[in-house]
Amino acid sequence: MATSPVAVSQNGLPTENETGKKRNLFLMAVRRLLRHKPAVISMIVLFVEVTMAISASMLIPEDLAIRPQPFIMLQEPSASHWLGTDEIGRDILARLIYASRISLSVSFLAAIVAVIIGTLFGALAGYYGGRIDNLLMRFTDAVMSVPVLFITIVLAVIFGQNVGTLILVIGGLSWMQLARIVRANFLSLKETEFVQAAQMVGSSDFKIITQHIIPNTLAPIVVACTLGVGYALMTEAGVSYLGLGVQPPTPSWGNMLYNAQSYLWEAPWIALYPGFFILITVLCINFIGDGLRDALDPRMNL
Amino acid sequence: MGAYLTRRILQAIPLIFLISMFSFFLIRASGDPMSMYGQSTSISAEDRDRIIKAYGWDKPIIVQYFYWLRDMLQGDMGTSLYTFQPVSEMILQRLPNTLILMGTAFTLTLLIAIPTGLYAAVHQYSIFDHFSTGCSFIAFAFPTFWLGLIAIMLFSVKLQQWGLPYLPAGGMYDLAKEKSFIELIKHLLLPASILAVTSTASYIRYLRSSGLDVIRSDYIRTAYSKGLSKNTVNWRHVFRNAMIPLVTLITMDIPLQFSGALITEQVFAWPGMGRLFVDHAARADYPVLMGLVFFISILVIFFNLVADIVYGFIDPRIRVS
Repeated sequence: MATSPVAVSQNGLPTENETGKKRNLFLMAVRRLLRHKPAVISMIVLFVEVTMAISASMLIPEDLAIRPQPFIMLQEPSASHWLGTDEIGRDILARLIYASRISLSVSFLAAIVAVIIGTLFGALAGYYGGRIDNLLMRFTDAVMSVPVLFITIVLAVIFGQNVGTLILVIGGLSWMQLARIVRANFLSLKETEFVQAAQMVGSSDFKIITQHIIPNTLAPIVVACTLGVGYALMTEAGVSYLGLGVQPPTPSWGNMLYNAQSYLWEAPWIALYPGFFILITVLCINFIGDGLRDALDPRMNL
Repeated sequence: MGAYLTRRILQAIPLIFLISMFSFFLIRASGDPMSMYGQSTSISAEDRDRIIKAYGWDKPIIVQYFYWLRDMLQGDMGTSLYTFQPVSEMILQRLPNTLILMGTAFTLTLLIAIPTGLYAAVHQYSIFDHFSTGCSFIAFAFPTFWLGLIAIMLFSVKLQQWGLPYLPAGGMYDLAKEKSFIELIKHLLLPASILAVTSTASYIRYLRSSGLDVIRSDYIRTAYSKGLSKNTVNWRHVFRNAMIPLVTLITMDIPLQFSGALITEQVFAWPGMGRLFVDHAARADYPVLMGLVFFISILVIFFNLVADIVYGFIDPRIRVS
């Protein structure tokens, strides 16, 4: 099965056909990724979701997702409301579609924030070493020992009402693992000949970091970015489920579940679908992360 | 070992200092404690000034932090701005409940993950291996709170609707019944299993790959070439060594477990520390929030320390370096 690492490394090895051609690392990676079936299916599903989010207003009027309609509250799924209505008569399908806008953009952008901070911290600590390394890594350790969700909640209370700051909060608290990986890679890469050669000819630190070292440590960064999307999606949903994240009437997959618990008895469909969307999306993201890890693993370029 | 331990403890002190400062700034910035009086006219402007002065809220945040730190070092965690209860008392009231929940979940995790992960490693590519790997991959993607809702829907609501025996949907004891051990177990079953799902999934994956690493190592080949049977090799060498990295995994997992417990406590109305935190988060009740974050961070660091010591005992290679 594709999820087991060894099986994948077998079909992930470059075939003769591939090695015979000019070795374009990027194309090789793409080709390997496309051979990872779960990843391909996941990319298609995510593509559909993103398209749905972008074209939401063409699919279904926003009014149905926002405006309370007391006369049709708690209706079971039917022909007019495919997934039923919630406790104040809003169409669940419409809310899901509009929620995907918020949930997907929050999670993608938060992952990018985390990758930027993590790479910056890891690169500076690993490249300069010494006191800078010590300072940055102690700070990273400190953040890692704090139960992050607690701080996220506190910050969501201050800034959560605004989606932009919620993105910064989630991203700003999930970069630590990546910083450590990037640092470790920098520590070993800065001792290599090609970096020393670059230093010898007088390249600036900035140039060495961005043009020589980062491209060589791209694999873990890309994988971390993918998995970061899943993490951010879960965190946003969790915080919004607690009623502290994205605020109504704006729907997000998390805050759609905020009230659902009170209606588990008479209207279980309210709770069912938003979580299902979160599950499918995170699952797809993890599959893509898995596929990318196999496709980008430099050990397989031998 | 003694020198190593002292060094580790000395390293932990600046870390605790850093964490407390970091969290104090964030939490103290999270809201104006005066906002609880709102626009209320029942309190005059002079009263407001007096309250602000009394708590030192007119001072810069860094000064407030040192006030907090001074009290904390004397064992005083402050009092809640709402219930006027000492924070330490509030935390100690909730601590056992959270530990019961986390402890049960942790036990379940180990009971399921260790045999599953190791069996899958020893029988790589078997049907069982594929099945457990697949399941853990899917379980890993489940949002905890939604899984909790689904579990309540199935095991509490649906069973009750069908007239079957059902599990309670939340709380720790039934208010109408006597507090008994059986009642506790009944209430504990759903939240503890839900909390265990994610970590079980990651432990299975981790144990499987660590088991595979061990199986491919030289000393296992040596053991086989000595003529040991498969069973002996597995029980005496593979399983023991494969479980060593588990210590690291558990330590890294502990902060995550507290976060998971927070969500689970919320879903199942479990009266633990996480629920206390959420209840006071929206009110800018910073002594309580600060107390909880600080207390949990100390616990995390403490468990890290314990893990390091345990590591030294079970893996002599670490002790040398």
